This record gives sequence, structure tokens and C-alpha cells, in this order.
Amino acid sequence: MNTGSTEIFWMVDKALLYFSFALAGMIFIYVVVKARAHEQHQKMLVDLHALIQTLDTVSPKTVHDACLPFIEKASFRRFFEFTKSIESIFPGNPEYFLKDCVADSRKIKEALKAAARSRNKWRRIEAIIIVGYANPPLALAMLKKNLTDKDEDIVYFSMVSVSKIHTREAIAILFTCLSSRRFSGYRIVSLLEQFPSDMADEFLNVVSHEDPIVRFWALKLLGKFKPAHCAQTVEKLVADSSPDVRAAACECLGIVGSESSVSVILDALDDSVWFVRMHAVRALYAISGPGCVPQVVSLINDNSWPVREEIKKIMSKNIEASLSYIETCLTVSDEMAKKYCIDALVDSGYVFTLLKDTVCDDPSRNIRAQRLLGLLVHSGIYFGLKKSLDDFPFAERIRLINIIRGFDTRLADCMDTIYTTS
Amino acid sequence: MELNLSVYHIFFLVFISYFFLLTVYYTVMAFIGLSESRKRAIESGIEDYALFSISRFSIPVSIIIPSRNEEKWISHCVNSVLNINYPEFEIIIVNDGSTDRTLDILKDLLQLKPILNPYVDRFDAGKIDGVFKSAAYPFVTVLSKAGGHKKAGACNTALNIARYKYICVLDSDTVLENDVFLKVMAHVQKDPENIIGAGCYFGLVNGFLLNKGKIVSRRFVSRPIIGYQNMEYIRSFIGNRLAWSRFNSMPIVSGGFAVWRRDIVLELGGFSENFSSEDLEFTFRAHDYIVKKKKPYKILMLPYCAGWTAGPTNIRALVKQRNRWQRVTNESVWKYRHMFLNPRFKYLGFVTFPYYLFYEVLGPFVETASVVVFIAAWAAGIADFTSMAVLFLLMMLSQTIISLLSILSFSRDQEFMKAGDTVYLVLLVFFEFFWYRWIISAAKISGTISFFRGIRTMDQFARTGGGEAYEKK
Repeated sequence: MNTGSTEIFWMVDKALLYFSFALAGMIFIYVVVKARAHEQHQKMLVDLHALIQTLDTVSPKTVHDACLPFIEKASFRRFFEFTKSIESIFPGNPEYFLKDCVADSRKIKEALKAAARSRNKWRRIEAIIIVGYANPPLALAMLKKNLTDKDEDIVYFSMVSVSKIHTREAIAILFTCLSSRRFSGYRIVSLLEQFPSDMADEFLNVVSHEDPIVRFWALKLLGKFKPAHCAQTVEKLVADSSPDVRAAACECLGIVGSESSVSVILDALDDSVWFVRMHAVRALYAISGPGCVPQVVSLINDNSWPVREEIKKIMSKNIEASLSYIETCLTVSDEMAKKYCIDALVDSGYVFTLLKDTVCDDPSRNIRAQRLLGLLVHSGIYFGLKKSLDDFPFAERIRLINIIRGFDTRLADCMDTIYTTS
Repeated sequence: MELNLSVYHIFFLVFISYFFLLTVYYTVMAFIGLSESRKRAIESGIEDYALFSISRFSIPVSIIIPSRNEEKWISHCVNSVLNINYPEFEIIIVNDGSTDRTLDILKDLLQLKPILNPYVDRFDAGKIDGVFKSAAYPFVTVLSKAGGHKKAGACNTALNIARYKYICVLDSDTVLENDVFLKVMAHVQKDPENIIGAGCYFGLVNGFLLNKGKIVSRRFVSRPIIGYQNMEYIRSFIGNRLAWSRFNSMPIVSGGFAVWRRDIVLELGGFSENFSSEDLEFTFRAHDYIVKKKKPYKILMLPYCAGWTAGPTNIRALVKQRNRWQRVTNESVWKYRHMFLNPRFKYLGFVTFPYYLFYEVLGPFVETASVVVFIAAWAAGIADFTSMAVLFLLMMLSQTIISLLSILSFSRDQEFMKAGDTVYLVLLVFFEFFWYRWIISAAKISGTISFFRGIRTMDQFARTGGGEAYEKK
């Protein structure tokens, strides 16, 4: 490297050195200023809080008069932070009065202007959020316009901001967003679920929307809000053209829990789509409890395993109510149905009770238990016999093995061998 | 010396071009990362997490914790996961053939009861010794299996019984922030059809004060070796990865905290045991698979803090860890070499993969060679001391500026770093070039040698007594 190029590199080094020192200095200053600004922001909130506490009467006017000077004084950034935190820091009446106060301030005009057309994207987004929280006049119209913006982030934050304005029009706008499929349904309904429950009728109005996605998510929301008398409207959707909607309708009816819906849900047990049948089974159980066992048990040999699993779960949770069906099932030749019935017995822990009944003195329980044990042994399917026998004292275990010998000599010999060797 | 086409001159041009391109690359990435971090900070700032924590529409997660000989950390990790604030999740802990007290600690902590729970093993990832359910926490399952299938095998075992749409793989020495799932899943929820993976920033837990998995105090001002690792994590996560994420070319969702959509993991046949570790290879594989299927997808890096993991506390342990990282980098870059400048992979092929090849794989050699050549040239009288010093200063300052930009972004958008911690990191940055960087380069070179020797083990560095974190009495 010749002297000339060394000089050039040394100049570059010097420039980089100055820049890195400047950057380091900037970071020092930035962190100190940030910490100070944070302290000041906290102080402002504490002062405002204290001020509201000292007011004789907390009314829109007193809060407005006391707090407006504070708000007007704040920088745009602090105004943004303050507007965001009103809900959490001043719950109850002061929250609403403070929001009105923000909406009346000169700052909000600045925010509205920035939200509509600031060239600085992040300032615009902050302004969009302020507008959503404060909800000044024309806020919704401006945010709605922003939803057609080219920038994805502007659209997203405008949508989030709309959700902060708890009006019926805002709900309609959010459902339009849902229909446009620009953002996920999960995200939009999580915004919609923040609305007060007295607006749940709006969700009922959209269940007849032409878009199945909207109908689907409206049903999901109805399941959360459960507005009065919604069952009748939802029942109609059990026969919807979209299977997702039919399944969501069943789920919703299950959550609402209206007895009058049972007949409609029973029809859904014959649906051609497996997840509709599965949700119908769940809904029936949610409404009728153990009483649904006779209605759903025939689906134990359904073509689809999630449906069979669902039936198995219900049977295992309500094993006493299911015993007669299990017995019937074990006498037929469908191996799959037999396996699910036996799994239900094993999962419920009933095998131990069954063995206990087999050797008990009560003849009615004894006869039934022996009959069921015989069916279990003859099925040839694993039912946790050894694990249950382990829990019996020696004498009773011998009695049980002898009873089993009456059904299957090889199995009894096998058990004998296990216990003799152990 | 006169400029001519001598060997030194060619070397000089290569090294200068390399450092120049690398600096430009890092600077561009750092600025994109700054913007991305700002966006995510605003998004996170307006999210109503209190409401989301009780939402009916949150997406449930199966949290998988593979654990092998982690008696010093497992209780911190599990307690921190039990403390998380999220509406619906299950925890599957896999005791991967531990020979220490890991399983006993889990039994005591979770009140485990053995259960009979037959399931279909899709992965052949080792014989299961026992399945346990927690009596205290019904959503916790512990699988105990024979070792020898690496972390990938343990994760695959857990995948057999994971139920939810998304899984999250954790390292068992990670202490989670309790709001991490609210932050990450609120993001995933925006586009669950396309988001197949997401990762987060995490730092080192060394020096923190813990109480039953809860972080009582954070102390970044620890020994320089810890400070430099924290610095590296910030530079990597907040700089490059955020920028790559913006262009959907994230090459790695780190195994310390990795959220994946379960259907994709299953379609890909689970995590691979054939690599020194699973995370980088799996991320490349996921890209490869979906690009070939021509489906839309996103793999995200989010600047939220997922948690804190135990880092090496001495140079030997650090070299061992980085040796493994380098091996898996080489293995993955070699396996997925078809991505290099391949238009089908867009930014991954043109922005991320070349970085991996030229910086992560070849970088240590170029850097070391530059020093050797400069010193040799100086010794031979071809270059004078001043010109050599000028070049080293150039190398040092370009890296310093990149690190400072990452610190600026981090201290701007993250709340947990105190002013003192930031100042400490800034001061450390100026001295990184003089020792830490060369330790890492040496570790990378040894990793490359191990790669060529065919070493594919997943060796853990020795944990010191619960790191430097300790239980509050």
C-alpha cells in the first residue's frame, strides 16, 4: 500500500472514528433523555391522577378544565403515550371524561391531520392510534378512508384503531375487513370481542351475511357473547351450505345451551362432513350432558376417527350411563366399535370396578359384571387386565383368575404364570 | 511500496473489498432492522394484552422442552413456563436419557404420576421409558426416553403427542418472560394461514437474580465474556434477523425459542438428527419445502424478548458452543447450496444465503488470513506499520458502527435495559476487535475443521452452578 492510499484509508478511518464516537455519544444522550422522558411521563400521569383525586366532583366539566392544560402542554409523542394509557390508568368515569378532553384539545386536530396524510409513516401511525383512542368527530370516516390505503401497515393500524371506537358502525367496518380477507379472521374477531356485550345483537345481524367467512366468525362471536334469543337464528345455520358454518353453528348452539335446539343438532349428526358431526356431538353433550349418550352412541362406528374419539370421551366420562350400550356393542361384530368401547372403559378406570363387582356379594351387580367381563375377554382386545389385577389382594385375584378361566383358559393360565413367577 | 499486481496487492484488494461489502451489507441490514423494530414496538404498544390473555380466539400452543442432564436449570425453566400468561397451552417435557437428577427434579416439582398412554410413534426417536402426567398441573406431560437421538429426537418424541396447531420448542436452560406468548401469538394470529414459524430475541440469563423461574432483577453488567455474547445476540437478532424477516428470508429460528406450525413440522418429517443441531437446518428445510410447493408462507423474527438462556461463562465453553454452531452452519449451507443465487428463493437466495456462505462459512478464514497476510507483509517489509494499523482500524470501526446501530435500536425499543447497561455495552463494543472477535473466529475455524472430520455430535458446554443466576433465599 503506498502512502497515497494509506492517507485515503486514514481519512476514512478518521471519518468512521468520529462517526462512531458521535454515535456512541448519541446513544448515551438518547438513553438518558429516554429515561428522563419516561420519568416525566410518569410524573405527568401521577400529577393528573392526583389532580382528579382532589376534584370535589368528577364531572366532564371539572375534569376538562383541570386536565386540558396538561394535555395541551404535552409533546406529540407524550400525547400519544398518554392517550394510549388513559384506559388502564384512569378506569371508570375519569376515562370517558379524559377521552372527551383529549378529543377537545388542539392536539387532536394535529393528530387528525397527521393521521390522514402525514408523510412520516410512523408519525401517521401514532396519529391513527390517537384518533382511535380519542374518537373525535369524523374519526371513523377518516379511518375508514385509510383502510383503502396502499400501505399495509397504515391499513392494519387503521383497522386496530377502528376497533377502539365502540360503535355499531365500527363493527360493520370490521366485518367489511373480514370479508375483504386482507387480515386473518382470528385477528379481526379478537378485535371484535373487545366490544361491549350490549352490542352483541350486531353479530346476530351478520349471521345471514352472504360471505361464509363472515357468517362463520359471527357465529364464533355469538358463542362468546351469547345474546338472548339468538338460538333460533343460529339454528337455521345448522343447514348452511358451508360446512364450516354448520360446524360453528353447532358449536354456538352447544355454548348457548338451549334445550329447544336439540332436535336441530340431532339432524346434524347425519351430516356428510365429519367435523360437523363432531361439533354436533359436542353440542349435544354440552346441552344434555349424560342424557345425550343414547342419541350419540350410534356414531361409535362412524367413518371418521375424531367423531369416534368424541363419542369415546363422552362414554368414558359417563361410563355408568354408557354401560348398556357398551355391552350391546361388544356383542356385535364391528371390531372398531368394540375397540372404542373398551378404550372408553379403560380410560374411565372402570375395569377395576368391574372386577370388584365380579367378586362382590351383591348378585345383581355380580351377574352384570361377569357378563361384561366375559364379553371383554372374548373380544380379544387389550383392556388392562393385569394392571387392574395388580391392585387386588391375593385371594381375590385368585378368585378373579378362576372366573376368567371360565371364559378363556389360556388367558387365565397366562395370568397365573405371571403372578406365580413374580 | 509501489502499487503493482503482486500477491500482496491481490490479497489486499480481496480483503478490502470483503470488508467493504460486509460493512455495507451490515449497515443496510441494521437500518432495515431499526425500521422493523420500530414498527413492531408500536404494534406491541397498542396491543391489549390483558384482553388477549383471556381471549377465546387465541391460538393454543404445545410447548416442548427437550431436556438432557439439565439438573441445574430444569426447575427454573419449567417454573418460568408454568408462570406464563397465555389462555391455552400444554407443556410436553422430554427427559432425553438424562443421567443426572433431571427426572427426579421434575417428579418432585410437578408431582408426576405414571400413566398408560400408548401412542403412534411417527419418528422412531428412541425407546420410551415412561409417560407421566402432572398431578399438580394437568396440562403438563413428561416423556422419559432413551438418549442418543439428540435434541431433534427429543423434540420429535414430543411431537407424537402434541395436540395444538402451533408448537414452541424451548431449550431447557431458558427462562421465559411471562408475556412472550401473548406477544408472539398475537402476531401469529394476524395470519395463521401463512405464518409457519416465528422466533424472538433472547439474551443471556447469567448474572440475573431468579426466584422460582421468575426474574427478580436483570444485570447485564456482568463479566465481559457475557457482555460480548449479549452484544452478539443483539447484533444478530435485532440487526440482521429483523431485516431478513422483513423480506421473508429468515434462515434460522433459534432452538432456544422457536414457534412452528405443527402441520408443517409433521409434513417435513420432524427435526433431523443428522445434523449437529436442528434449528438452522430445519429453517432452511422449511423454506426449501414450501418454496418448492409454491405456497405463500412467512417465517418471522420478532424483536420481543422471549427469555433468557444460560451462556458459556468461560472461553473453553464458548469455543465448544461456537464450534457446534459453526458445524451446523457448514452442514446446512452445504446441504442447501442449491439455494445460492437461485431466483426461486428470492431474497433467501440472493441476500441471506450469500451472507451465510461468505461471512458465516468463509468469513473466519478471510479475517484470519487478512491478519496473517498483513503481519507477514509488514515483517517482509512490503507494508509499513502505519498502513497495517490503518487497515485494522478500518476493520474495527466498521464493526463497531454496526454494533452501535444495533444497540441504538435495542435501547430504543426494548424497555428492560437500564441506561447503565447500555453505556456498558457501548464501551465494550470498542474493544471487541482486540480479543473477543478472534476467539469467535478461532472457534469457527475449529468448527469447520470438525465439520470436515465428520463430527456431528450435539455436545453441550458444561453448565456452571445454575449459571450465575441464583435462587433468591
